[in-house]
Amino acid sequence: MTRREQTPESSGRIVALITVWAISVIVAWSGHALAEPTAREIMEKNFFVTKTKTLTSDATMVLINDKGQRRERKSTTTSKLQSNGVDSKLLVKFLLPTDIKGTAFLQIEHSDGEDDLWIYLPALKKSRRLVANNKKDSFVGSDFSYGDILLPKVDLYQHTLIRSEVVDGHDCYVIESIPRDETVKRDSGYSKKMTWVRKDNFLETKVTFLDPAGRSLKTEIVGDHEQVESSPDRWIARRREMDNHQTGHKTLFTFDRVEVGKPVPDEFFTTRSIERE
Amino acid sequence: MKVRAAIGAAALVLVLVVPALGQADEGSAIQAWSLLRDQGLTGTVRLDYYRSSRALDDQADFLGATTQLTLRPTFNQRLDGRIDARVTNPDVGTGAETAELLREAYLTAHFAPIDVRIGRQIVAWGRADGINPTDNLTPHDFVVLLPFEDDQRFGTMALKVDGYLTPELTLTLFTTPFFEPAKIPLGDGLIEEIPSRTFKNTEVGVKLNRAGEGGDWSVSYYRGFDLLPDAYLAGVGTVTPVVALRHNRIDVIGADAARNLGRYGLRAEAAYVFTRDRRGEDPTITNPFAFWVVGGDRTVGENLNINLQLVGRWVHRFHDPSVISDPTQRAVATQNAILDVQQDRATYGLSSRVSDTWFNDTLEAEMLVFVNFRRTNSYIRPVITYAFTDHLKGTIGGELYTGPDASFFGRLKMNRGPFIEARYSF
Repeated sequence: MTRREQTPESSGRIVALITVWAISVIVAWSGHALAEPTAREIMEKNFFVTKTKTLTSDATMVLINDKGQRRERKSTTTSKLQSNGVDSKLLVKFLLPTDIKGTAFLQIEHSDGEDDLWIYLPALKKSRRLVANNKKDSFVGSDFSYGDILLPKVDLYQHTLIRSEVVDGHDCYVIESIPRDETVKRDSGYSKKMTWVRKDNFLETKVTFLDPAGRSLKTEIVGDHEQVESSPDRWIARRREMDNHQTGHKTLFTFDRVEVGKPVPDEFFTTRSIERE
Repeated sequence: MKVRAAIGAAALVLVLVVPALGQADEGSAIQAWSLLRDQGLTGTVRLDYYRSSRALDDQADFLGATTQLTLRPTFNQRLDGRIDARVTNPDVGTGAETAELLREAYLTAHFAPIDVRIGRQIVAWGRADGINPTDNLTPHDFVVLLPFEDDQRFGTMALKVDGYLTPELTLTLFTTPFFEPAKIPLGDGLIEEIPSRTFKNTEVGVKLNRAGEGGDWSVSYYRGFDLLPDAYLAGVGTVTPVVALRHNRIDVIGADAARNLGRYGLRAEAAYVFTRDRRGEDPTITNPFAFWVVGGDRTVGENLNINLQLVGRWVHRFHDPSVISDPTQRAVATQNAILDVQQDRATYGLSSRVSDTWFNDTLEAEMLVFVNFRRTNSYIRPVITYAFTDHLKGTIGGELYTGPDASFFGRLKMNRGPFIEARYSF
């Protein structure tokens, strides 16, 4: 058996091949690292970034009409992420104004079907099943729609990354979202949304909405971002302001107290809980 | 003058009912008020104008004042309660009697698998909208001059136990020896006999209720007294027969269900009422009957909600009261048949509630219509409410009854007219 001697030419060829391979790996890796995420990826991260396992909060909603007259709603909310990691169970009880004190909603989200929804009205003394709201319906008379509060599935919209822009000192992706079809457009009440998503935490800082006719409808300013979980990375916005340009009405929503991660049993999300004033 | 008197009366009642405000020391009064607010104190002061009474009389133009206070004390995680009291003067400044009503006063103990509630309480059964064949436990006041349906409800001293078999399934037991009848417009000189409060007269209700993903339903049984009375000839007076009212025993088996189909909310409720006149031969006792409601609602646009329900009754062993030969017996039987909707073997009707809100829920309007197809008679009730602020609301509406005098709604025509309410909540 003879052993073939390695010539200087063959050694040089191997070194050259390794070098080319190494360079191409580095270039490919660095290229991947530098590439912007797609618009869909950004909006998917935006969808999940507020999905905490559980959330208990006290909130105030101030409704201000075009004459500056203010009305105030105070509520406590408890939510829990369901095992699919997408849908939530949500229980809201109103404390103010006094004439609706004790009114409560229970909502079990089903992204693959209609949500289950009950309301308890103290005056009626019983909970009542409601038809799940259209996403465009106003949330208890505010300028937020149900679709603004419980975000719709990412793929119901076509997303396009338009540009980057600095808002309030934060570098943001600017995403244009168009309803996937006429049904989504009709259900959401929007023909287009523009979302400014912070690059560092993927939570939005600003959203503008166009109505189905393409006219400017609302602008939402989202502030006081706060990290509430680190693994996975979860954030909430303590302050949201929604201005309706067509009515002059606006709504200011603030979390007065937030508790994340506190265990909440599934049995809490039943009509027994909403009927307990 | 009347308005001033009404405002004065309402303010006086408020001060009387909240003794904390009567404290001489301002600091302690504020402290007491703050303590009550911590215990969930809320209240309303209301001024109402009614064109007509609801007592089937010729009285008109009522200016009433009402104060209602609700306290929701929480003693600890396991024990809480509710006190709800109302003071109403239906016609201030005319010497009308002020009525005090303790609508509810109960304690509830919460344990992991059960809740036990004892005291004066309102228990409302049934999933249909407004018309509930299974709702036979606690009464309504059909005479009170206040505009909303829940204003008519008041409680009975009772014990209620809710056992949570699973998160979705609840078994409810209700019992009371303290029967309280509904308040209905009575003619002059009628005597109403109330069942004595004895162990033998204890009423019992049992319900198995499911509320959970996909759909809700319940089955129930009630054994007790009819909240509405039947008239009977109690004797013969010097000139005319003596007619009295009594509450007869009933047994009710019932069921209801609710589920959503797309954008439609569907509801159904039915009951069969066994009475003490199983053969249908005694015209002074309601005949056994079946009573059902089926319908649903849908929201169109943003807030326009349309709720339609078909309502039916079928009388078992029906006997036409108009063929009774004795004129006195016939008159009593006919009045019973009108009140119990038993003039015909089968009656059908349609209820419709259409409501909408505008301007971020500050303006609400609702039109309630109920039509009985047999002996065409109807009830129409439009109501508009505007929230001037979070505390102050104004309501204007009316009640219209149509149909022949010898029909369920037609006999109430004297009660028709507009109403207005100003309501301050605190």
